[in-house]
Formats: sequence, structure tokens, C-alpha cells
Amino acid sequence: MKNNRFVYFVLLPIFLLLAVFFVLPIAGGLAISFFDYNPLRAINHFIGFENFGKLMSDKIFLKSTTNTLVFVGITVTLNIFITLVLAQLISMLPWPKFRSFFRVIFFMPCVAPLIASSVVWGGLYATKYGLINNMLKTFFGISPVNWLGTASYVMPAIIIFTLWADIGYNIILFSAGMDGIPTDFYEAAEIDGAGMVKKFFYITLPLLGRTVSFVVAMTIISHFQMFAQFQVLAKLGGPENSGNVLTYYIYKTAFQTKDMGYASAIAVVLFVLIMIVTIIQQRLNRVEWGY
Amino acid sequence: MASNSRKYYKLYVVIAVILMVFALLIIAPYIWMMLTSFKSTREVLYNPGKVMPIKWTLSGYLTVLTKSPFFSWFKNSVIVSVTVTAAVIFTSTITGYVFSKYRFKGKNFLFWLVLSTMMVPSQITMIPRFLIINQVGLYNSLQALIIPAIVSGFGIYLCRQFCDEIPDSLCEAAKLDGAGDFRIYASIILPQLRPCIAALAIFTFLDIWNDYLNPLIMLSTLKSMTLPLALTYFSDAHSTDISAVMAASALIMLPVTILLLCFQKQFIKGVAISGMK
Amino acid sequence: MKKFTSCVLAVALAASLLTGCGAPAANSDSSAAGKSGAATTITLWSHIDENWNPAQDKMIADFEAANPDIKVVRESFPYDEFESKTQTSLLSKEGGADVYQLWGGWAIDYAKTGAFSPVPDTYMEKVKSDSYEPVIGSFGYKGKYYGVPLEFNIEYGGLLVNTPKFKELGIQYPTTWDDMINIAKKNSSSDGAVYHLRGLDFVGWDTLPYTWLSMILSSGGKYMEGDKFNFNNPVGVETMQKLVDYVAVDKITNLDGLTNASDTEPYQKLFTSDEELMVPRGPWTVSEGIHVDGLEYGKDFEYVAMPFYGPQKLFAAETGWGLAVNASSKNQEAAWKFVEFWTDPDRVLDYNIACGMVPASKTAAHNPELLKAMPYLEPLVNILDGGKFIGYFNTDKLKENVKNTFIDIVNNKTPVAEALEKLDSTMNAE
Repeated sequence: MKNNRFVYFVLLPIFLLLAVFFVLPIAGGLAISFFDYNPLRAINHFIGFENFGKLMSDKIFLKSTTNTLVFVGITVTLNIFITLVLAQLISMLPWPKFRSFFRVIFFMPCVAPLIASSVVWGGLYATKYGLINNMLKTFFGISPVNWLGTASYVMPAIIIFTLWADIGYNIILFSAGMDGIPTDFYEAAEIDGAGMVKKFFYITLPLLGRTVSFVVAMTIISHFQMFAQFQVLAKLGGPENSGNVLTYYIYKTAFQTKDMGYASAIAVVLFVLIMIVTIIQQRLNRVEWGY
Repeated sequence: MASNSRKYYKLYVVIAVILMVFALLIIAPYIWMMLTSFKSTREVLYNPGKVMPIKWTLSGYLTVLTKSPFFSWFKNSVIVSVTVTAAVIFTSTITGYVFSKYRFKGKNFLFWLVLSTMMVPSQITMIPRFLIINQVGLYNSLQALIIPAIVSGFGIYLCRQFCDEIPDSLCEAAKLDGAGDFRIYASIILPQLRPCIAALAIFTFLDIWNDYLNPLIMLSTLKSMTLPLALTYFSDAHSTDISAVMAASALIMLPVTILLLCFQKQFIKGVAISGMK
Repeated sequence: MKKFTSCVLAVALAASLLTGCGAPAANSDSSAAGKSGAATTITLWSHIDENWNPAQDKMIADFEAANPDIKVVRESFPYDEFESKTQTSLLSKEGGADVYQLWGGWAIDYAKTGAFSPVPDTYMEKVKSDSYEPVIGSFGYKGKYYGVPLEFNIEYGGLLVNTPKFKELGIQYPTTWDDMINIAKKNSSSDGAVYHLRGLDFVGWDTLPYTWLSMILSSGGKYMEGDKFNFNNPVGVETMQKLVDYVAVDKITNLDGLTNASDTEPYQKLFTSDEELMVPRGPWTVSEGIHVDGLEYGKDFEYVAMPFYGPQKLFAAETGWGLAVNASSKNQEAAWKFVEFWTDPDRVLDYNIACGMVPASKTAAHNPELLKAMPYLEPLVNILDGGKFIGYFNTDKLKENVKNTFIDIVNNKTPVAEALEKLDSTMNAE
């Protein structure tokens, strides 16, 4: 259809808002990274690439970058593995009531505010009164572990929490994909004598290819941007910055040390990392996943 | 997939048990939170090994409700979430409709622009956005959370996908009958978009209700806070009162959990829809 | 719909100003009536504190009674967010306060930006002549002052002791440094990561740096040369080594106070979970123990003099809490009137007592009423003259770097001299 008046009438306000709250901030975010920018000051100087130069010699930045990559790498790998297995197990159940029951239970943590679950898990991880240490002691006789106060345990603790908080989404997405696979595929394979594992690798995975690649990319992108649990569970970046990640470092630099130029430069790095993932996913999407 | 033969019955039971164990791991933190919120803090600290409360008490909840403006936090959260959800449904459906059914100059570029807003992490836009909100004089007001969220790239994208599936002939026929553009949108497109609107509403509401980073940056006074931000404030101010902190967490987690249990089908379908598109 | 569109347009226009120089939006948000004889309303910002807030309210009520044409509204924020809230409000022209009760050390960041209005000269003369040396240091900048001290913040010199535990063990409170350490060594016990009892828990954001600085000063050492830091000297290394050994070798405490996100502060643990025997901390904690945790002073805990490490009774101190007036406040006169009313030596004494603060004013500190109300301040009042201004720098930065250095040495066995060398270069790098 054509009706330019109506189109403009609708799109003008929409794109004004987009311009003010998305386009301008993106441009602004890039621009500020070239300034020594502190909003409290009257005059802020243009310093070119100095902020980016500072990055390479900034130990905390390097540590946060490593932590971010480690966190995303390990969490997403485990997440995809666990959710594929659980989704497969759920969709094997012959009782529809049970299937939806499990999906809802696994999805429960996804609807809770991440910050609230982080606070609760802070209690679970507490050395003395926390559930986790008490369970370990009761069932395995393990003496208490200082989860959030030991440099080497902070990240694993946060990874475990994040898995708990986030597997529900992907279980539902994979389940939906698996439910869409026609049963005659499996029946044919059964006649050929294929076992469960074989069916999974030769039928389910290839047919879910597009869904898996989409879910992996989305999970990676969302994990790059996680923030709340680091603020709550890693005290000021954790012991020796073991729990410091880019998002937390950006927040701290921008809103506590008020060095917004430098914070924007770090944000640009995060942006680039996320762009790389997006581009790879777009490429993969062009691959033919045919039935 | 489920061939109901006897020989598989054992296998199904094993699978159900495995899933039960996992489900228990998911539920455990909730149970611990609830039980802790009904203990006194003294009991939490001095009897760490005991799971059940020795003496049930509501003191944690009383602390939350009497020593903090909990109800105004709740009200703020409701105002922001409901307003944004309603606004996003309107802007997304009407924009999706325009992109799907109309031909105009620059359509592809504009749609690409919408898509690109979905790709940009909030960390890069949050600093300038904070400065803009400041400049406009909306700092520390609920509008600071509402106005930037009125337009959602994801919402527009989702609605366009759904509109594409509505046959053009429907709109053309209505046009011949003399219906205006807005009439077509209201009487033909909207009813057809129902499943998409449900999914979008759920997502937007959850996103805004649970949002923490935006309020953290945009709000400053206790009275203007929304629940997730208020929780961190509360737990800092009452850091020694573990039972009160858990009570506050419970009060914040329960509403959404109850919503989920009431609208299970819509939730699950909504997630599936958004992922398939 | 039209309304909505014009709203959006207005927003866009206003935002486009940003790319220019950004004209400040002049909005009168409070009910600041002009000079029409109506009441002026000023806002006071402070942090949430169950004892301090009522004392502030009392001060406000007294002031309003004396000045019926001025109304004061108090807004308070949780301590952890208060600093950044103060900063953001000062840079946005909206939602800020007229008067801030802020930490003196923060004033250092603001003095250069002109965010606060300078203290009127005649009033400042009075304040200067009646204040202890360390308390006004950080409010001064290029000959002007940008705030007024309310208290002498002293994080060193007092020791919270777990009275029932001392009774149970049948021992006296320590009077010398060695005595204190020996008691701590003898009675600390732990099981893996769980501490049943920490003998002397000095591991905290404030306590660690202040304990260390006092150890350096009282040994006759220095940690600054001019305006440059120099921790890496024989005294600095020796004292740091001592502190590290207390944790790593003697195990009188662990690093929880600095590293564990689900943990409360050492003094709070002493009050609530009985895990601490002695905790060095400022006197303000005493009233928190009494009012917040419902403890009985003298029965559940006491506050005693903390022995000095070396022969000289010296310690480092920074300003403490003080009052400042927002430069963009439209009610300067009323705001300063309120501040001056508040800091009057007799009136501020009542406030100090209610908050458990050591007065910044010499007159108030020597007033016998102070010790009558807070007998436990005696050990501190005796050493106030030994307070040295910590130095004109951002103390948060110092605390953070001392924290990192300490954790690094304890956990990674980094040689002390090497770690202090790194600390110096980090602190001098600005």
C-alpha cells in the first residue's frame, strides 16, 4: 500500500525517539571516548586515542577482559550442553503434563530479577550460614569454603549462579525446536537400530542447527552484558579483581570515578566483542541447514 | 517422539527422576530464601546447620514493611512497567504494520536502523543517555525510565515478522470498503497480532520490571526507586539483618513467580515465539 | 497524539543542545518562593543512619523554630550509594540539595569544579580558630574553604572489645601493643575458611590503612615526601610486614573483611555473631551497637584505648563528616544560616553526642558534657592533639590501593618492598 502522510505520521515520532535515545547515544558514546570527559568539569579536552592507548597498560582492564572472556566461554558452553541435554530429556517424556511442569520449573529463575537472585545466592554462598557450605559439610564432610572471598572461587561461584539463573530460556527454545521435528525421522532411525545417543547426534542436532546457532549467539551476547551478579557477588571486583568484568569496570569508571571518556573507550571494546559474535552468527546463518 | 510402548516405561521413570533432581536444584534457593526469611537473624547466624526455623517469625517482613518505603517502590515498579509495556505494544504494532504493508522511500535503510539498535550493548549508550536525561531535566524521575523505553527495536522487528504473515488481500479489501489506514490497523491487524502481542507484553514487562542498570544510573532518591534497585539499597542499609534481606528478596521475587505460574502457557509460548522468528 | 508528538519534539530539541555547549536548564523544582515573604524551603541530603537521622531532624526542628520563614526537608540515601548520588546531583541541575552532609574527603574532588559555594569569610574565621588541625584540611582549596567540619573523624585509637568473651577467658583488656597481639594470637581459632574467633580484626576498608599509617607515624616514620607518596621506606616495610604476618603467620584474622561480598564488616560481626574478640574502629560504632543491634554497653561490649605501636602517640586522620552548600542552590543565604546554626559549638555538641561523634570543635570537645554523655570517648579525647592531617588527596584511592597491596602480599607472597614500590608508583601516577 502507499500513503506517505500516514507513514510519516507514524514514523516521525518513533524515529525521533530512536534518534534521541539510540542513535545519538551511540554516536555520543563513540565521541566521548576521544575526550578526557568528566561531567563535573566545565571544559573537557579532546585527547584523540589516548584513552585507547591507556587500555593496554591498564592491568585491571586486561584482567576484566580475560575474566569476561573466561566467564562467557565457560558459562555459555556449559549452558548449551546442559540445556540441550535437559531439553532432550524433557521432550522424551510421554506425559505432556510433566513436560510443561519441568519447563516451567526450569524457567522460574529466568523471571526473577537477576539482582534479587544474586542477593539470595550471596546468602547461599555465605561461609558460615550459607546453604552450600552446610550441605557440603552434611553430605560430604567437606570443611567450609570461602566462596566469595577466595580469588580462585569467585568466578566459578558466579558461573554456577548464572547457569541456575539462565538455563530456562534455552531449554524452552530447544524444546520448541525438538517438538517441531517430525516423529517419522526418529521412527525411521529406530528401524535402522539407532540408539538414543545416535538419534540425538544424527537427527536432533542437525535439524536444530539453525536454532542452535541462533541460541548460542544470543546467549553469548547476553552473557557479555551481564552486570548485576558481579556487582553483588564480587565485592568491588572481588579479591584481586578476580570477579571484575568489563560491564562492572565500565560502570565503576563512569559513575564512580567519573572518568566517562575512559569508560566509553572500554565500552567500545565490549561493543567490538559483541559485534564480532553477531557477524559470525550472520555468516553461519547463510549456511544451508536443510531437512 | 513418545511412542508409548511398555519397554520404554522404565526409561521414562529414570528420565523423570533425573529431571526431578535438577528441578530440586533449581527450587532449592527459593526454599532456602523463604525459610531464612521466617527465621530471626540471630537464629540464622547461631544455628547455621538447621534448615527449618526453630521459631517461625515475621520480624524480617516487618522490618521490610515498616523500615522502608516498600509500597512506594512497588508502586513505582508497577507504574513504569505497565506504562512502558502499553506504549511498546502500541508503537511496535503500528510501526511493524507500516514497515510490513507500506511502500515508501528509505524503507530498507530505516528498518536496518531499527535492527541495529538491537545490536548495540547498553554499556555503550548508557553514558550519553544519562547525560541526555540529565540535560532534559528528567534525572531522578520515573519518566527517565519510561520515555527512552517507549520504542523497542525488538518489538518492531517481531511485529513486522507477524504482519508479514497477514495476507495483503485482507488490507486491500478493507481499503476498497473505504477503511482508513488507522481503521485497518485497529480492526484487522491488531486482532491478527494477538499471539505476538501477548509474547511482546510478557517480554517487555519482565525486562522493565527486572531492570536494574537503568534505574541505578537514572534515579537518586529513595522514594523514586523501583524494586530491583531498592533491594540493593535495602540490603546495604540492613546488611547485618539477613532475615530482613531475604524477606525483601522474597517479596520482590514472588510477584513475577506467581505471574509465571498463572500464565505458564503464555510465557512458554512467548519465549518459543521470540526464538523461532 | 499531537501532544505526544510535540513532547517528543521537545525532548529531541533539548537533547540537541547537548551537542552544543549544553545550556543548563533553569528549573525551579522546589517550592522556592521569591522574596514575597513566603517560606523558603531548603533540602538537606545525608546518608541513612538510624541514629544520625533523628538527630538531624531535631536540629531541623530547632532551626525551623528559630527561623519560622525557612523550612528544611531532609532526604537520606544508603551510605554505599551516597557519594555517587551526591556527585550526580551536583552535575545535574535537578534533584540536588541545598545543603549536603558529606564526607570531608569528597570535598577535594568538588573544590576544583566550583560545585560548592565558598564558606563566608567571617564565619570561616570562627570555624578555623576553634577546630583541630586535621578536620578542616580537605575543605580548603587555594585559600578558600568549601565546607565546614562537624566531627573529628577518628578511625584510630579506639578498640571495640567483646566483653563477655574477655570475661569467659578471664583476661584483662590490653594496655600495650604486644599485649594486644599476644591476646589475639592466643585466642584466635578457625576451621578452614570459617573463623570461630578472630583475635584482632583490623582487616577492613578503613581500619587497615589507618592502623598502618598510625604504626608508621608512631614509629617516627613518614609516608609522604612533599606531595609524593613514599611508603617504600624501612619503617613502611617493617610495619607492613608485621600486619601481613598477623594474617598469614599468626592467623589472628583473615581477609574476609576486605574480600567477601556476603560478609558484613568486622565491627558488625562483633556485634551480631560473636566471631570477633577485638576490632579497632571509630567511636561512631558504639551507638550503632547500642541502637541498631540492641546491645548493652559494658555488658555485651566495651570501647577501650587502642595501644600505640611505637613510642609516639600519633595517628593520621581525615576530616570527617561536614556540611557544604550547593553552589547552584537558589537559597544560599538560608542554607548558610542553617549551617552556621548547626555548627554553633554548644548546639553541635548535642548533635555530636546524639550521633556518637568526636567533635571537630575544640570548645565542644573540652566540654565536660561530652564525656558525661559518652564516657567511652575518654581515651580518644586524650589523644586528639596527636591527630595529623592525612594529606590532601582522595583517601578512597589510598584505601583501595592499600587494600589491593595487602591482599596481594598475603595471597601471592609478593615481597613487601616490591609491593610497596608498586603502591607508591600507582599512588603517584596521577
